[in-house]
Amino acid sequence: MRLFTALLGTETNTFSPIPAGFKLYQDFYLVRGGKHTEPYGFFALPLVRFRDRARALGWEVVESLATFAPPATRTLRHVYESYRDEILTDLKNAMPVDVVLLNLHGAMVAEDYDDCEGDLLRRIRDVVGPKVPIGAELDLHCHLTQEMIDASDALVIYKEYPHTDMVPRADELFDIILGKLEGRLRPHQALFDCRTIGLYPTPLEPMASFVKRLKSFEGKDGVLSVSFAHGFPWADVREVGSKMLVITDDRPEEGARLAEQLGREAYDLRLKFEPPWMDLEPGIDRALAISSGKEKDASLPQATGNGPVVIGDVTDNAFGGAPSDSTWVLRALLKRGLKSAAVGCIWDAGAVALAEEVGVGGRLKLRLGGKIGPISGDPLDLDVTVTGLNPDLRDMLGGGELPLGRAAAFRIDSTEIDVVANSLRSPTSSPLAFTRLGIDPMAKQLVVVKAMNHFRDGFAPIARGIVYAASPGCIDVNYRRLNYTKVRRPIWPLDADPWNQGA
Amino acid sequence: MTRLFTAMVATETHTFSPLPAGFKLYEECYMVRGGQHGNPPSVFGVPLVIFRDRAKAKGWEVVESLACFAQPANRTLKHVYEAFRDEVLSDLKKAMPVDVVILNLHGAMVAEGYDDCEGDLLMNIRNVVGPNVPIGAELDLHCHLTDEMIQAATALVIYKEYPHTDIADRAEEVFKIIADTVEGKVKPTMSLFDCRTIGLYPTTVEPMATFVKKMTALEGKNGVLSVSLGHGFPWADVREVGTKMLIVTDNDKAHGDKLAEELGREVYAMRKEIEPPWLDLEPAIDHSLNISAGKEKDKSLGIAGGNGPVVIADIGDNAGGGAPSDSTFVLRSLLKRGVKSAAVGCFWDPGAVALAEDVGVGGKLELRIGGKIGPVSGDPLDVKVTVTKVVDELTDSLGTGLTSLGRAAAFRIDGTEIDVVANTGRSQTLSPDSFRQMGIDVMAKQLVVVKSMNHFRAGFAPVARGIVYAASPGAVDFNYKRLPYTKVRRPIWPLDENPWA
Repeated sequence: MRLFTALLGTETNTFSPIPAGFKLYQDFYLVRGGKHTEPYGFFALPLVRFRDRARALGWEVVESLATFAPPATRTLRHVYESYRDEILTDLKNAMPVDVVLLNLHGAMVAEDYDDCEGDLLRRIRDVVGPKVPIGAELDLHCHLTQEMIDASDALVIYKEYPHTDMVPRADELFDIILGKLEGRLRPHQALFDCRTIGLYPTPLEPMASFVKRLKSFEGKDGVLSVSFAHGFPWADVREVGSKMLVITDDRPEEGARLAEQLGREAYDLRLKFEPPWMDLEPGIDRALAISSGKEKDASLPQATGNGPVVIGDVTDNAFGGAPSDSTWVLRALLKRGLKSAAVGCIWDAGAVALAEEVGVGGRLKLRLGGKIGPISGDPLDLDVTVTGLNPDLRDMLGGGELPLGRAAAFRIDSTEIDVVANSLRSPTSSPLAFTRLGIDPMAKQLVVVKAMNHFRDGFAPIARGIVYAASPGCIDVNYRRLNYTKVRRPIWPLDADPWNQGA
Repeated sequence: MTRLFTAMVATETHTFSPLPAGFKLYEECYMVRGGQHGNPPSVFGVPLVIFRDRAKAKGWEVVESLACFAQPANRTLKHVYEAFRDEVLSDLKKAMPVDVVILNLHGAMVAEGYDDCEGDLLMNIRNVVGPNVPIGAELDLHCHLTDEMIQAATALVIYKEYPHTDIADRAEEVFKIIADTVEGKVKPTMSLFDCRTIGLYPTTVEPMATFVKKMTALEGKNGVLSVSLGHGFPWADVREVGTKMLIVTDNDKAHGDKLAEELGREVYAMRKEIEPPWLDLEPAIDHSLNISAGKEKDKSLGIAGGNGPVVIADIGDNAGGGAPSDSTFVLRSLLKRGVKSAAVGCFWDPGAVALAEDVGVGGKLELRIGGKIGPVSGDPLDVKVTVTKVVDELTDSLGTGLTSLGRAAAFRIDGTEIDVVANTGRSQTLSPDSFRQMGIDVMAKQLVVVKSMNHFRAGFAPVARGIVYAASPGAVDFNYKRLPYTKVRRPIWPLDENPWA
């Protein structure tokens, strides 16, 4: 048996000012021939799992390109085509192959390709023919399209956000495809469009219970896999939005019925699934109220009251395509005279270079952040001391590594506010981003992370409270304000009642 | 066999600059060991190559130690200066006995705890080699000449030209004086006169051009071996800041002292006339547009009336003076005025270059450019642009030396014919060739804006319709009275109205 694997992914924010060319992929994750090194990169985890499982069965594994870029705007046309064609060439050279397993994202958009994954899967199908099983693991922030469904035998989507279940989902996919290959299973995929746009962290209720409910259908009555594709709101493509996918063992009608049933449940719960967004200043008020014990964060019942309150600077999340250099939150903290905070990571390679130049203990008059565009806010001018340097800062998410590049920590004069700047645009996911620069988040009143929700996995165990603060910035969480031109209608919240349920 | 020891440790320290100076600043600008200066040599390696070539022609042995130079910034970190100095001294001790030492220095290098790095280095070298070994050094004319340097060295020779087009000639001169000393033909004696003034003096315009000729004419007769004017470097808070006259005679100190005072007082008397004719930013742009429209003329250019662009020197943001080279004041003003045709360079903005590289030629960006280092950079500028060129290495030249400007990208601002160059290696823009490499024809532009004080003049004067020095706000403030000096010796003009009272 010969297995062919590849990864080509990014999460495209078509409203982002950051371009996506070769360098964005090369600088972040690009490996050929399976040369993934330990500890494995976050995006390598499924590929390594596919390989290990296949070899245990005595299969041969052909590993093609594996590349991922941090979210930005549309990938340049020639860049997408070049990577796609490299995979197709590798595949043709590897033929005959018996099975294809891919790690994709599902929300990759390139110039002139609104559905990169659909395009890639269809071309792979054209090479291998109708009988070779093709499976792909997708991020739950995908635009699930009929083209992807038609070209593949099974798609399995992460269930958790933060994405802590990449490896279990890789196993799930492998098992389904193995069943197909051995003639035990005949996977059939049923898709239901929920007609809604949203973003849904899964540790919060009622979403956490909904994930358990999805799982409860799996493994019985012919249901092989139930996936909720949350969708990725910041893309101007026709297929944006939430969808329900059910894979059955050749039971199309039951699958379609279950997809619709669960999809309509998701629609009805959509408002409760959204994180409790707050505007910036009320968000800081809330964080301070939790910090002083006046309010409690009900989502963290186990919180001891010792740790910091963590503010998610959600609109500047690099993994949503933001610059990760906006200054709104830090400026507000300084204006309020707050003295104790850790803030990270601000993407500012220039600031890192200056810190490297003066070294730990060096003092700088630093202009920090605000360097990419109007959505970055104005740069901040600060008197700082360099307190830490790390030539290769790495964070962890879901058991995989996320690179943050070269990094520097700065203490702002006359405060106990420590700020981390880094050279590789990527979200802050865990306390490691601070502790690996000598900053103890436990000693801080507030921790500000430039991330949407992934940080929750790493910080919930230590946080006294978690606040999602929507400062002005790239990732506008008021979907009605996004400049959609292509989305299919009706869809909530652009249309008040897409299912004609009546108000 | 006669054994020559050479080295270079240099930078021009702007003690008011927001940019720090550590190891990387040197490593990224110029750092060579064992004489690997390239061919053609870097502008920083030119004198050292001449010292080596002349010595070898005489059959001397040459020991080449560290040669490093940093783009001007704030004080060099203490441990960085000491590491470089001690490396040179260690090499020197290993090379002993040496018969002669010739250095390429700057003269305005300041480190934490060392206001006079060259004086310190020369004194340490003198302590190693003893009183009888000749020590020569070539200095930049933007030096703070100190008594320590004079005491420790046998002969110092300073560039006469600003732009520094005579680096090679002065290297020949210092080599000849020192070689003649080794061979017993001369006994150099130095005379120093403090002009009690702070200033900056381009030498291509009158009356400075004539004064340079006068200095040269005095050399080689009446026992005068060399005549140098240390212009000084105004942007340094050190005791010895300011302009000084240096005469090297063949053992005739009395004559040297007299000549140094005579010429030094002459410089003092014409100090206001020899400052560049800078204008504040907006009047400078008015003047530039008037020259461009034929309403005014630039009398400093013999060829005035040509077809080329008017060149605006953005002198407040000169990297060669320790500025960030990313200020937005001039470009913002041009855009506000609706100027449509200009070339502007080089913005030190590695982030902008990286975005251009990623999107490639023809790519469109909503770019935030410049204004990224501090308040002296002004506010960043948000412009819609198309990338028109990307290069892995942009080079520029001054005299016979090449210099690297790092990776670079050219952008066309939407709705205009304004082309902007951004680069990764903070360095001033020297010649039209750097624009040509970016696919920009300066002859087709109404205005060219260069982030440079005066070095650009050598390359641009032949093509410019006019040259205007714009005292933009920024790191290199030309109103010396506004500089926060605390250590300078007094009295000195313009801090004191009449220092010779």
